[in-house]
Amino acid sequence: MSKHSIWILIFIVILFFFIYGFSNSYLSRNLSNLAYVLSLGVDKGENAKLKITAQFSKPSAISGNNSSSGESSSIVLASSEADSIFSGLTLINSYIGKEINLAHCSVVVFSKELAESGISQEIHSLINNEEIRPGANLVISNCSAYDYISNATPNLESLTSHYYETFSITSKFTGYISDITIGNFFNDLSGKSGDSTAILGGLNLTAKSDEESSSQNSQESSSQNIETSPDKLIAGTSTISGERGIENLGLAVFKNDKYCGNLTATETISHLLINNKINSCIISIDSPLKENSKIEIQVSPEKKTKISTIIENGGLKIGIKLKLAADVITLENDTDYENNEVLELISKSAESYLTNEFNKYFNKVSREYSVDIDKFCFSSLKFFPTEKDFKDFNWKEKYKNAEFTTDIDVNVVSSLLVTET
Amino acid sequence: MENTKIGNKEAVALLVTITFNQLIINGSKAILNNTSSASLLNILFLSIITIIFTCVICYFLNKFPAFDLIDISDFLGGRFLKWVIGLLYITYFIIFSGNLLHLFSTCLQIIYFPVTLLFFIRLFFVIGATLTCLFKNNTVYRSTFVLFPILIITTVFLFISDIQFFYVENVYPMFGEGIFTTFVSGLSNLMIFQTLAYIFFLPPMLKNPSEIKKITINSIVLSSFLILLTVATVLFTFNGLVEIDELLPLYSAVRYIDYGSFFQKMNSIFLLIWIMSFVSYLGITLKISSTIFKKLTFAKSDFVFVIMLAILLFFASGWQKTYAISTAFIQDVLKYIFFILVFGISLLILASACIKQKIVRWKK
Repeated sequence: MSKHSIWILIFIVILFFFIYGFSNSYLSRNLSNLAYVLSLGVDKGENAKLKITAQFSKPSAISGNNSSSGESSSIVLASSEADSIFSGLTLINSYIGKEINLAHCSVVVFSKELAESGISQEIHSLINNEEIRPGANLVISNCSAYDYISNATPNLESLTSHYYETFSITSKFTGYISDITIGNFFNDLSGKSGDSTAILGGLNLTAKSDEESSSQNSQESSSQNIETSPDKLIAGTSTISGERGIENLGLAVFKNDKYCGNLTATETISHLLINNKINSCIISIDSPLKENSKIEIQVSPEKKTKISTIIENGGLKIGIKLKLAADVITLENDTDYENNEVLELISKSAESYLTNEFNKYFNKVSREYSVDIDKFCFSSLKFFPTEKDFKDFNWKEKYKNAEFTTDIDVNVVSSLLVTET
Repeated sequence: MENTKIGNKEAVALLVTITFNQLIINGSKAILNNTSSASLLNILFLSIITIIFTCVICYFLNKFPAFDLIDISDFLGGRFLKWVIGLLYITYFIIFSGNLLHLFSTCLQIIYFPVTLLFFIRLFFVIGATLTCLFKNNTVYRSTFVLFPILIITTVFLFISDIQFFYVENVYPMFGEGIFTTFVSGLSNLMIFQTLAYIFFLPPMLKNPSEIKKITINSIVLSSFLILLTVATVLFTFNGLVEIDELLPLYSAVRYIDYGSFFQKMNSIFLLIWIMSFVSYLGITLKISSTIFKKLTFAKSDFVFVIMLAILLFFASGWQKTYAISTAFIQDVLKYIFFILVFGISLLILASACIKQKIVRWKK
């Protein structure tokens, strides 16, 4: 046997050896053997600690029919109760048959009830799992996670997963939600402040009416908690009605791993403006030109928000400097929007409105909730040479009594297409 | 005739690849655990120390052109010292790379091959490295050179892609857990510069041994740049890295990369590049170790030594029962061996050989 033949023989032996060795992993991860979870819901269980709900998609049904009704019929929901997320998924696995894979899970939903008792164990378990992406959104639902997921049927999109992908886009131009992922949440949870936020979700009017009529408990009307002003608006209280039964509005606030309250739509705008996570948003301010009238302006950040922290006599002073550009959307009669005085008046009104809103926001997060969701502690770290110095300063205690100052400059550029009415 | 010498660029690629692999698997995590927010400051400090140390090594090596540590040991203490130094380095190289192999294989098993035995993953690496070593014309060094720009580009790409998640303030408090931890106990982070152990065997491999200083300084500067970039990526991306320990922090940072819905899950590409780079690293280790053996025994071919060392490498990656044992072994045992061997014994031999050379010349 020649030397060449020996090498070929060795190569073939090695090849078969590795085919045998790695085939198990290949077979277990074969597409046809996997059931992809689109969203995962976690509620408090009745018979066990948790109730896990997984939303699957039937690939054959999607490829056969691209309409939204077709997709909703292709969605499979399964739930089980267990003491941990992964034991629950294992139970669902035995029902589904195929191996559950979380690689395409776009949203993880926790019910508010469960979040109030702390979700650090669940978040750590999810991050510990290789399949789930840190970019999956985290939603805290006012209703049960099961209801949220079962009502999450696509509306304009052909796939539910496409709807979940719009969360990040919506946050950029409405400011009513923030694109919070489990990666962000985990990072904040294990970070210096330990406080975090999540998207606040709930059922819309249509879904709530359907639920009430089906449960025949018509005593509680769905219109009881209806809010129309963004100052008070949170998920589950809006007037939105539509085929897709869920809505996301506002933010869920966490003190360490426990849900401690929420931010309304306007407070969410304040939070996003501080953190430079917004492209533009529409706010409603008092019209300086007509009494008891409101006008809408579209606000967008002109420069990045500057945060300054001063430690004085052992106390904290936190300063926020915002520079915003604005366009007038709602036009009053007989007004020249090219007149500098008019624009100046609108600027002053906008600045006054925003200062007031920011003060309310700071009061809520620092005094009421005592949470540092804007990570102000980072801007003060430079004052401490070592970790020990920072710990000794007792940031959390000082933050509660911090003095906030806001310096807001709104530059009203113009109205849009019409310059004079 | 086989081409056995390598050019300056290939040598730089070789040295940087060694540090880079240590960095991915264990290094960035160890640095951050030791010096937390002061890690970047610590790296800058260590880079300066390493450059000074490299200059010292090069000064001594230049006294013996085209000689490596084995030849110099032979000159200083004869066959006995030559064998002792040779065997010490071979043992260190094999055990250290064996540990890294165990760590990396375990990570791969967790991430991609949950139902594949660790045995097959380890074997895959060992066979890959052995084959690249057995090919002629310095295949192992040339493949490393081809892969080298990809390593640099991907590391820069990772840094840029994760910028959107950065909290630059994580660099504070400036001195982390204290000045002593940053500048004194933080010296243990020098282990990241594994390259230093390989520099002693570089001169005979070079086409221009007189340019060793230029090559090593360039490689240390490049390595420092990569370490800074990698540690900065991890430090800035994760708020609570000091509190939470991640298996492969760099991999976790890669998972955050997301360019819309088109470029998602880029971790697979990064892992593929790291796998290739790791095979190169193992190949380099096998090649240099077998060259040392060849020198010790005056053998004509290193074929048998490559096979023998590959078997040893396979066993050196298999004795650890858990990931934790492997990490602890590197931190508690191999770290001290590295310092004793590289900063102690090797430097002492070089210095003593220089003195002996001067005495011999003076006697003549």
